Amino acid sequence: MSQHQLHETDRPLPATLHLLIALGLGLLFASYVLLRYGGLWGEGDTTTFAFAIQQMISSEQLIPDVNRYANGYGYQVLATFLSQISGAPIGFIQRYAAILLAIWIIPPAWLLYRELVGSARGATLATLFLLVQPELLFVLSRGTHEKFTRGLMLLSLFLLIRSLRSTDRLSRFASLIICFYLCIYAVIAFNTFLANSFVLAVLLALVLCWVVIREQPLSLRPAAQAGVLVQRLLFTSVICLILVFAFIFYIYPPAQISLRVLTTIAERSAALILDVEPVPLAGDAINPYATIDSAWISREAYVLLTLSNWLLLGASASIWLWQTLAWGLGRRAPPDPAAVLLWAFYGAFAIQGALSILADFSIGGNLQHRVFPSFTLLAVPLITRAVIQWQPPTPSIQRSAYATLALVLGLLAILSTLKATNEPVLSNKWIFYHPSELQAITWADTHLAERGLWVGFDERLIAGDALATDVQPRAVRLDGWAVEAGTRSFLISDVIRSRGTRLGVPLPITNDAAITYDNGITQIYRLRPETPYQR
Amino acid sequence: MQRWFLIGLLLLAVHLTPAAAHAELSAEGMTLLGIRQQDTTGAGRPNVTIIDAAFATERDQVRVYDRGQNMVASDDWRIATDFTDDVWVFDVGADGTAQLIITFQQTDEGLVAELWDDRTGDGRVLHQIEPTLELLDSPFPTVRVLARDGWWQRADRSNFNLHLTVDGPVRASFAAPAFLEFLRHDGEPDFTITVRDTTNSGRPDWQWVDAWPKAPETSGPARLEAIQNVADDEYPITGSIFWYLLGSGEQYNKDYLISPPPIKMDWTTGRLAIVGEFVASRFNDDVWFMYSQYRPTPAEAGPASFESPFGFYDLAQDNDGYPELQVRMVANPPRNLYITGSNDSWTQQIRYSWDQANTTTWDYKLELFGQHPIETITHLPDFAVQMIAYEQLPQWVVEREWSIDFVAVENTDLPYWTSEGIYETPTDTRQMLDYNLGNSAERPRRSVDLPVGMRHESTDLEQTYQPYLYFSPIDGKLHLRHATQGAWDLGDARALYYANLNGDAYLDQWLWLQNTGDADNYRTISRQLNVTDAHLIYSDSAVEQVQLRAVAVPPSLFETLPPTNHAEWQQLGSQLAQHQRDLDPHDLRAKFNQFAGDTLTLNGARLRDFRFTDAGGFRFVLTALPHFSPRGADAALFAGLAPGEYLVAYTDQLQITPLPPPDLTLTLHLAAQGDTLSRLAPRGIELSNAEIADANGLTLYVEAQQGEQRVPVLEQRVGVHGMDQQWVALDWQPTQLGAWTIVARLFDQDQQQVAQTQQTVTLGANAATAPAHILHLSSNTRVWWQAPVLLLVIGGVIALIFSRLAPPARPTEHTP
Repeated sequence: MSQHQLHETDRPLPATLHLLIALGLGLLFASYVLLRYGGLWGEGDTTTFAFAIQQMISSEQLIPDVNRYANGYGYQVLATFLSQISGAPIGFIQRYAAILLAIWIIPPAWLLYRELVGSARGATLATLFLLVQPELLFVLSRGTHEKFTRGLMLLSLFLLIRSLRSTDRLSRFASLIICFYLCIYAVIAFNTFLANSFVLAVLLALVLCWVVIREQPLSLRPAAQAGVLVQRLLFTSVICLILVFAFIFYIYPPAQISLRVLTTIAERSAALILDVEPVPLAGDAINPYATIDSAWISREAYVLLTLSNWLLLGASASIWLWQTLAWGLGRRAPPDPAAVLLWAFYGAFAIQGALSILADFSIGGNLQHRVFPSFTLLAVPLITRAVIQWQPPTPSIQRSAYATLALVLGLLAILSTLKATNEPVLSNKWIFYHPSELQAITWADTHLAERGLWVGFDERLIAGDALATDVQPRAVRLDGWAVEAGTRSFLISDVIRSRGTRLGVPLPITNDAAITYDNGITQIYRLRPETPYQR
Repeated sequence: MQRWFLIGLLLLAVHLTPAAAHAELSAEGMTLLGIRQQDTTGAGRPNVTIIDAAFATERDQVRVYDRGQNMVASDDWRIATDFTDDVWVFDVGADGTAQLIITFQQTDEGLVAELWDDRTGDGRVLHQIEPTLELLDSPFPTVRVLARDGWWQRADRSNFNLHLTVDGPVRASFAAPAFLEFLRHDGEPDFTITVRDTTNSGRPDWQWVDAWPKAPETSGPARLEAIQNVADDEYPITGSIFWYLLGSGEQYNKDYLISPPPIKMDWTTGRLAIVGEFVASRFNDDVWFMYSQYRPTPAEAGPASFESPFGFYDLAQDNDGYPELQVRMVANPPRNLYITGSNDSWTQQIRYSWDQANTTTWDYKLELFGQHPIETITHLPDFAVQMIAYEQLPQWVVEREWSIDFVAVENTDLPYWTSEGIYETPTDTRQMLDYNLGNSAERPRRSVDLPVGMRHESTDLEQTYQPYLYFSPIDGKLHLRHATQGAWDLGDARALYYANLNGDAYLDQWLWLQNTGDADNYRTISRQLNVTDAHLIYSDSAVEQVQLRAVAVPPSLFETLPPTNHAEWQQLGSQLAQHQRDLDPHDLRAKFNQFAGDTLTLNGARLRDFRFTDAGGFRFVLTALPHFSPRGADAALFAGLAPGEYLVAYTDQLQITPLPPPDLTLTLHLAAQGDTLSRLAPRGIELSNAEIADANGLTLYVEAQQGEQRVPVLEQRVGVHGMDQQWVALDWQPTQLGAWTIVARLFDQDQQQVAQTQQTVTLGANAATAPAHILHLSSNTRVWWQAPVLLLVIGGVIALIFSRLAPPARPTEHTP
């Protein structure tokens, strides 16, 4: 089917309306995140960025001496800008504004998908499919760079493809190219390692494009167009890699520190080539495969909540393989250049994703694999094209299929939202806190200054308190996970009791610990001294 | 004319040719082989002096270039050259390269020496002498020495009012090896060293080193190291290589009786390796040093942490270079950043060793742990620090109360000497620190595994005391007052154990054990001597004999604090000389027989479980063997005893009672049921012994059972006296609902079960994990149905939008 045949045959809605629908879907999800916990939540990476932003503001330096994010400065700069012009504190930015800003990813996604799928309807459908992917929803719901990094990736792909179609109009072409490189630099500035792997994926896509075009009969091959395409992609990739190099080694030296943490050539290569990210301390990388069983109430719950991932993976892989075989064996020609591009980009990201998983297992240690998000971005338009192109034998079958798909999508949206927000009924990793817990910490800040206070089995309250107080230092030393030596006070709330019960972990206090604070829901216990030296 | 010309020619030849290669022996660190000079400028006087010497290899060379136009012709290098404005190039192997270059110059600050070594890794210092001096390896010297007074050495003394900076990975402090990786040769000093000769004696008496590694501030190594020679008797420097501060070597610290040059070059690598001690930190008898992680500044007299101070004292006043007293204080100020779990109290750990006999052997050591505030400000040149002054330290220690370990070196075959006192101590010091800081309630491990010949005793951890020692008439040795236990490894599988069973200030039990035989025929021989107010009780398992002697032995012949000065040291020495006896530590019977009195001898008997009673008497278990026979005082009481076990008790008189086995019962005290999982309630077990026999060496094991699941709750060694009870707290939090059976078992020393009990606790359903409860807790509106409703809205909207956007059904095509 040609690109024109992809256009809807019924009366189309205006493109603007489509875009608004897509934005509305994004806003719907963001609203849920905001309403679910009412801003009373804390999460590790969000807090880490909060500290980095605060340090940038207080030091008035792009590269502060401490508390800086080694992989890029983009997000901190953006948040600093928003904070300064609005007067909103960092905690507000991270807990509220960052969630609402998640919808910014919608326009570039929609625009790119319109180029790849061929219609506004298709773009909106693809965006809808995108918004039921839990891994992507998860990164959108946090106060980190990823929503911007992924969105900029989408925008840069859109600009690249548009520029390839605008070679006959020099002014437009030049504008698009300039915007593209600005966009790429922005990606680099937000996270240089993800940017580099993105650029290499583009290069890999170039190779795949070249393979496909080369295999087509001369009569079908738009020769000049193909040559331009390959040449453009090659130049683009090389220039982007130069930008990455300049950023790491000249513009933003902290990125070198991240690279130096990786002590082996294999690790460094993986960080630069694959979709992985260095972590500051060796061993800090969480093995996501190993935590499935402990992070959710059951493995079945996990499978259900990630159903959208598996369906996307299975469907898109099937489509791609079919296209590969069909085009490779010469039975069919690619319908249009957009199809070739989409096939190539999907293949590139999928190969990169597979190699990243392998690297995670074989190298491990210092690398944290970011599963799915990049791959998802290109898988959804692939599926969307197939849905639009599908021609069932009878209209009744089509209607039934679409009705079923609608229900399934509705269900997937619910499941994906539950996963993305770490719904505590199903997840063992709780991020919400009760206001009484913060009240107790505030009391401890006055009465337990310079002393330790254990506040839970992980960083939940530490992160929540930091965000609630705009990362201002506390006089009391908050202690999470295992109890630190010297900590003799323990914050025990109904939330912590419930969590301990859920995890099957006893509370770290003794039977005879004394209650020194009680606000009804949250208590602070103090261990009784067992030696003359304990107080 | 011709003759004078020839003579002149000969004189010139002699002057300008190298001196005969005869070895000129020197007290310095080199051997002179020859000297010659050159006039390369044609000025009619030498400007280069070339010295052939052996300081790194058999043939090296030093080339001295005159920069002050004042080099004179001489065959004595001391006259020909100077350390004021010359450039000294050290050439190992005399191959024309340079491994070290020292430039000397007068500046506005004073006289400066800059040392340039290899910075590029090729083993040489690239340089250019003419037309101008250029040092090409690095723009910065590695070591810079400043003499503000403007001179290095004069006729009779050397200048030790110096300021040094060190840039790069050079060991310039004692702690430097811990952060060498953070040292960079980058033009920023990594160390600043100040040396002072406050008395202008020509000997340094002060030195302090500030380290500035680019390491995290909370990393452990000391950053300020200060040393003072109180007696101002540093030994003159020997072993220099031309310049008095330059030498070779691998040791940072000085040693006894010697002062090597402090700036040490590694000639094999061409790098300055060490800028060591100008003042000996340990190797003298009136010195002290401080290694502090905190860095007091001239503006703020902050606390010192770690070894602050570490002092050495000449108690014998013999000035022989070896101290007789060593006091090491490790001070942790409140909220010490360098100690995990540091709280808001000062804590100290002190090692106090002394050489009582003045034989360069440490004889005694006290290891002291405590918490005492330190408010004293000690003023040092250029800064003040919150620290006990060196002069006051011994007295400050003995005036206060501590938890104490005492070690006596009894093995006189090998002299025990280290530069820092007696290291060995029975208490795990890391565990003791955690215990002392209040971070842990776990009692530090008290080891009996000190080397053979080291006798040690310890006080109870819960109490603190002044470190009094007493001299025991029983064994003729110094012991620690208030010690509760002690041991002495005698070697060859023999050991002597001490105990203080009645809780007073003195040991009252000596227990000698010997393990003999092999795995098939293993046995332990024991001898025991117990001391009460009115009796000595001796038993020997090898000869199966027990003896009671009515005699009141004074607990001590004299008591003393450890010596803090010469007079106290002398007095203790006199007292020991007066009272000390050479008693065989293995021979408890000889100790018993020192004292006369009415004696009851029980042959064919064994003794065990000796203890004091609450009534002020004592008791023990007597095992009468088939050949049992009493004789002596009170023998009638024991006449006719059948073989078996008996309780022998003494309050005002001896009483003998047949001894039944202990009658032990366990009682669990638990709530029968609960409705939440994590609410806490007091739980415990009561152990009761209804018989008069003590039950010792028992093991209490408690586990919680639910179905097939077994959860260990407690495993603990316990003991119950006769006719007594013991309470053991249980700290168990069930993590699952339902019925749990708590089972408690008691085992004896042979792993035989002697008591058991169990109780079932039912934990009913609670709301802790119910979805509605969690939704209620997690919802900001405290309405549990908020989230489900929102989710349904999302799902519905998605489904609706898809259904509206899905491609319309295409009409079926009909072919004609």
